[in-house]
Amino acid sequence: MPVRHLGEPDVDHLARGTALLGSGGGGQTDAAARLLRRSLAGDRIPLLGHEELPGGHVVPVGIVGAVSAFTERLPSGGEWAPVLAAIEDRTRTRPAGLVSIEAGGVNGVVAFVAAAELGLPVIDADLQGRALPRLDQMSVAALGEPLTPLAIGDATGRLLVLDGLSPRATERIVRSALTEFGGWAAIVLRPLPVELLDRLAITGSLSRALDLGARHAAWTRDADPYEVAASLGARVLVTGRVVEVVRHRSGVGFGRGSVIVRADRDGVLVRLEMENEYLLALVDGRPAVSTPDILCVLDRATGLPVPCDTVRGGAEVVALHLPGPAFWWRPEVVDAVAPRAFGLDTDPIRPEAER
Amino acid sequence: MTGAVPTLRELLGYPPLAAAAPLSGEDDLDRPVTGVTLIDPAEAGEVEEGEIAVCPAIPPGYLTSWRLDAVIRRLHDRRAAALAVPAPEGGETMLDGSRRLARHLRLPVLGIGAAPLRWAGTAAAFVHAPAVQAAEHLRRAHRALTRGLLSPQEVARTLTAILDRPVAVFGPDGTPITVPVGPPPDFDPYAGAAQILTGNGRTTVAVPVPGMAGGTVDLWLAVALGNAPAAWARCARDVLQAGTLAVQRWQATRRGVLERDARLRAGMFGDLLEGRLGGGETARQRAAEVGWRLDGWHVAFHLAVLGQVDLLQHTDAVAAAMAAERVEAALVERGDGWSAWTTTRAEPGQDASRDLLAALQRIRRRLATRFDCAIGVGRGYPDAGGLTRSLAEAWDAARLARGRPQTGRLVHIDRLGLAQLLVAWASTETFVPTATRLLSPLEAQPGELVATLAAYLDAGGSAADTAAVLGVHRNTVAARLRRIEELLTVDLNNPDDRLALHLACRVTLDRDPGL
Repeated sequence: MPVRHLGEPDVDHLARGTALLGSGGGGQTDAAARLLRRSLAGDRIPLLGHEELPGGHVVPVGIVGAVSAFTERLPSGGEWAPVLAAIEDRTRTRPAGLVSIEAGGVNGVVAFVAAAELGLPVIDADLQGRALPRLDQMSVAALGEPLTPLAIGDATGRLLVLDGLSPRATERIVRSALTEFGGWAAIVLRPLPVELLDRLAITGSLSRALDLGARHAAWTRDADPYEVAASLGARVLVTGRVVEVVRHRSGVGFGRGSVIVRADRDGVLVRLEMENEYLLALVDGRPAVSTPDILCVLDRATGLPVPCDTVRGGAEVVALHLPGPAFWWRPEVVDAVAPRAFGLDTDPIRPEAER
Repeated sequence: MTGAVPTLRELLGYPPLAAAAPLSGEDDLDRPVTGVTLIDPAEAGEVEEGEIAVCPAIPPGYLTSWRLDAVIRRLHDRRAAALAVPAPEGGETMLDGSRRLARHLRLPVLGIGAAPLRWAGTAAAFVHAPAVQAAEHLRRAHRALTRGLLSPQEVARTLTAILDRPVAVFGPDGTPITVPVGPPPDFDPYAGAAQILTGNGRTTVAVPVPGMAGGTVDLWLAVALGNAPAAWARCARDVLQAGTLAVQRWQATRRGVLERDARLRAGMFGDLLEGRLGGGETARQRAAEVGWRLDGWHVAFHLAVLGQVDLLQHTDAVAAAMAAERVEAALVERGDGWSAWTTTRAEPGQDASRDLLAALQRIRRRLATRFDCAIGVGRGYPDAGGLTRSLAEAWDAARLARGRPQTGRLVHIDRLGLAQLLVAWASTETFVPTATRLLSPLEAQPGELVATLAAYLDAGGSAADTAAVLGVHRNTVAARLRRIEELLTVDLNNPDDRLALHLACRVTLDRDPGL
């Protein structure tokens, strides 16, 4: 991949693409896009393929916490420097670049905000290839590698450094600490050797987001959803109206919900099971798409992704099935993001097996 | 197994399975059910085409989970008849989306409001061996019906409990006697055989109770089953047939009692009419034994049946009709009908008399489905002698009422003239043929001789008045009278001849007013 730069004109595509990869979760990328434009201030940020780095380490960066809190209180600048410093101190490593912890949603955009702040290039890779809700669902963790040392912090100097903890424990502690940080915090994970990125991370995910975004920008009110879907490499599951949205606020963890879309043409009923993301789609009761593949619910008129937390009954939508990152279909990691990881007792559905 | 397999709708109409109700709407229930199988809430398991998949227990939240949708889909793919789950309790219910899916895939979801395993067992037994279930119902019916002597209404109540569906009694012409069930439109009360009638998916079974005389139907027992499987309808028919035996037994016993009472009353009544009852305390006691009061004021009436009827069979109905119209009267079977009388302490006034007449007209209408009758009413008289007199008047009035459809075949003795009474008395089996024979020579002749003779006698022997009534010339009348004297060889100036001829004219003209 040739060296390319992300500049002002690319931000819209990035926001669209990361929102699609968010599978209904990951937060509002338009707010993050405004922040990024401000951070760029007309400048450009290098976006490098991992093979273009001679060696050394990259650090995964992003934010962790409630994306709603993030939208309400955007970063003011200076969030990542102290957190990165803590990791540099602890690991005595000076990173050659940044990777996003999560290409889907806000974090796909925020990596560039952090890069602007830190003056580092962004490497075209992330640890999820889409949006996923938990730290122990990072590719590194799924492979059995540690996430720590890991630090979260903010611009006011609050800082939490964790080390020697399992991904699960890390997730629990970070999640419970977030309230002290006002709902969200900047996060920096253990540096990764560049030569291992192929194995440890999802490479090419940010350029995928940019590419998806560029194609998605062609969506108009009159566009044929099937054509746009084909250009995205996606498949239309249903075009229709949301007839029911149920949110179950029971038990622990994230709230579960169901969205039922009735097809305009033949009355087919598509049920989407969601948590923070759309996780499973049943077409007339038959499981048709599941994590790690990506489900997008798009507004029929604008094409804009409709997130899980704002989808409502009566909306005219198009639901798309977008192939998930190939990484997650590896047998040794698939269980970390398969439906059962979200309490949905069904096997993950491979697109080719479905056809 | 006999006959076609039941549909799901019919199966839910079988009372022991009625605890299950569709959660996904009333559509798609008309599919055949071939069996019942148990499944796990997560796994559809082995389900054959046409089977109801019963999920005996479901985890909390199941009805709103995607699992339910997935199971609906899998059962649809296996062509199951339905999914049955324990009926939701509390606030939990199926999502609208799941209901839509069930309708879209045409796979009904049932909620079982009873113990699901027991329901499944009953359903399986009914589908695979309906005869076993039918035998059980018959056994229970037999036990309940042989516990004691049961009236038709009690039989209906007993069978209502056995069949868990309303059982009614219809009259021989199909009119409901007890209320809960009306006869279906295509019910034929004259077919005289058990009928299983299905219209609009609702099944009614009607079984006749044979009458004493061969080929007649006394009553019908009928049950409204709603949506019923054929096997269940046949079972209900057999249970009703057991019921008809109980009704016949009751009727036979009842008839024995009626006949004994009737004999007793008839004997007493004969004594009463012929004055053999005597007076004093003994007579009063004998009368009291059959429920009669001899002192006080009596108003008698007589119901004469038109046509041939087994009186005893209808005595209960007559008594019931009188009771329904609040006419408290002693009732006796008597030749061509029933004589009855009301007894009051004081002399009945005009109002009471008018009320009685109105009530009797309504009684006549109530009995119209069984037979037509003429009713005569006597005047009120005191004590035993007065009763006899009132009865005689009622009898006479009834005789006249027969020929008077214009008064509703109801006649009070007060409305009759002496001449009419005379005619009534003369209208006996012996006098009528004599009268007819007396006038028969005139009938073959031209010139309306009988009418002329009657008019002449009515006009008191005035030929001029006769001519005016008939609208002919007086010479014509004179000529006719001469011919009458010749043909009959009578002398119209002789008072004896005139009396005999006058009576004969009245009797024949009264019997055949068209002459």
